[in-house]
Amino acid sequence: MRKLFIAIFVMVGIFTASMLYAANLFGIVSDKNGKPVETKVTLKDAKGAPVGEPVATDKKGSYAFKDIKPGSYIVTTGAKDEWKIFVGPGETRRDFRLK
Amino acid sequence: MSEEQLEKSKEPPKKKDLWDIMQALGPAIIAATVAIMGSIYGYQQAQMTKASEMREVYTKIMTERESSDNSIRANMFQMLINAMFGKDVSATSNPDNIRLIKQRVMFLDVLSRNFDTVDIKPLFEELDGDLTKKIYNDKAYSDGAQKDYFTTRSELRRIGRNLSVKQLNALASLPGTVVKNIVLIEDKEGNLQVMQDENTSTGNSDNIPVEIKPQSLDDGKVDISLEYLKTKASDQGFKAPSFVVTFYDMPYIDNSVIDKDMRIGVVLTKYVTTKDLDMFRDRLDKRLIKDYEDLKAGGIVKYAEIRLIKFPAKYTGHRDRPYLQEILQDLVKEDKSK
Repeated sequence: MRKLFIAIFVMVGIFTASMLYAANLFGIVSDKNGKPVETKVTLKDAKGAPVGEPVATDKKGSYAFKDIKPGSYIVTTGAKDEWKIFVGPGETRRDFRLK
Repeated sequence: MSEEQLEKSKEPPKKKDLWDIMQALGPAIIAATVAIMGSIYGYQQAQMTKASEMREVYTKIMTERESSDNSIRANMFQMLINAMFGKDVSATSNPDNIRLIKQRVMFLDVLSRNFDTVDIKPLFEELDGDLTKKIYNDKAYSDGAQKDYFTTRSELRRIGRNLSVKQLNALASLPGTVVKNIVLIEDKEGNLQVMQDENTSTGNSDNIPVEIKPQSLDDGKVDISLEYLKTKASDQGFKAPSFVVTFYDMPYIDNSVIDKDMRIGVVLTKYVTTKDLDMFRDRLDKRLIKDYEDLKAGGIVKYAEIRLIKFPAKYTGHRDRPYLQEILQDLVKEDKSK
């Protein structure tokens, strides 16, 4: 019985893992002089609906959104800077420079 | 004795001032100063000679190191080329033997890691094309063999991509460069779509004055044309010739001239064809299967990502040139601050 539970648990784990997206969006936000900026980055889908919670960049200006669906997105950084991008399969790096 | 003389003899002796002391010690001070100056001069001369000798030794060591490094590299290059194209290899090897193909991939990896300024793109493309023919040839090869060829080609492409992205990142980190991301998509009907990152709040500010026009996406080969906007503005009928971008295009080597003293390079960073999902599902990166399925469900048959990089022409050529330029700039800054 115990073995059966373990087997079911492993199978469910594998199935769940295969259902996850591997697309990751990451990069660096910098100011107009190229210096890293600590700010909030918001991700919205093509229709403008928020995707997950906004993330804060670290001291190096790095941000990351994990396990997202490949497709078109709108990224908002700083106060009003907005970019329309396409996130492909796997890892996608996009660096943003504030205006 | 007169009264006046008597008074003078009673006066206390006059105190010696600094001048008197100087007069007395003058010769000794001069001698000491000359001695000190002499010893300082001697010390400085000794230091300068020592520094000059050190520089000479350093230069000699560096020259010898460079020369032995060049000699090792020359031997290595010769050895790798012989290992790939030597008489013994071509005469006895079976071109379908996966072990030998993997060996060629490994040789190319070593070659590209050590000679990243040598244009070995034709070697990569020849092997990639050969593997692609084998991968999709159902009649000549078994399923297992086709899958092995597919895995080997993926490894070859990974090597090429790593090298080109390494060069792209090195260039992108230098002043005066601009990078632009472009996504190319082909749907079921064969329509090609170009998607560029767009700043919707301030308009597109990427100052790469070219328009990209895709011609076709085919098995890791992206056929595009780059239309230089200035040329297009002055000559409406101008049509730029197309060229093929693969994972083996290195921006240091493969670049075009635009503007004055500016170059533009194109790097293929991602290529996906959803037909591989059905044929080689078990050989694909497990983490990416869901992403590929999603692309397929969205009607996308082929997906490619390219990066355009505009950079000053002075960065082209030898791989150390950008860094050398940076070192020179730092030295000039340091000198100015002094």
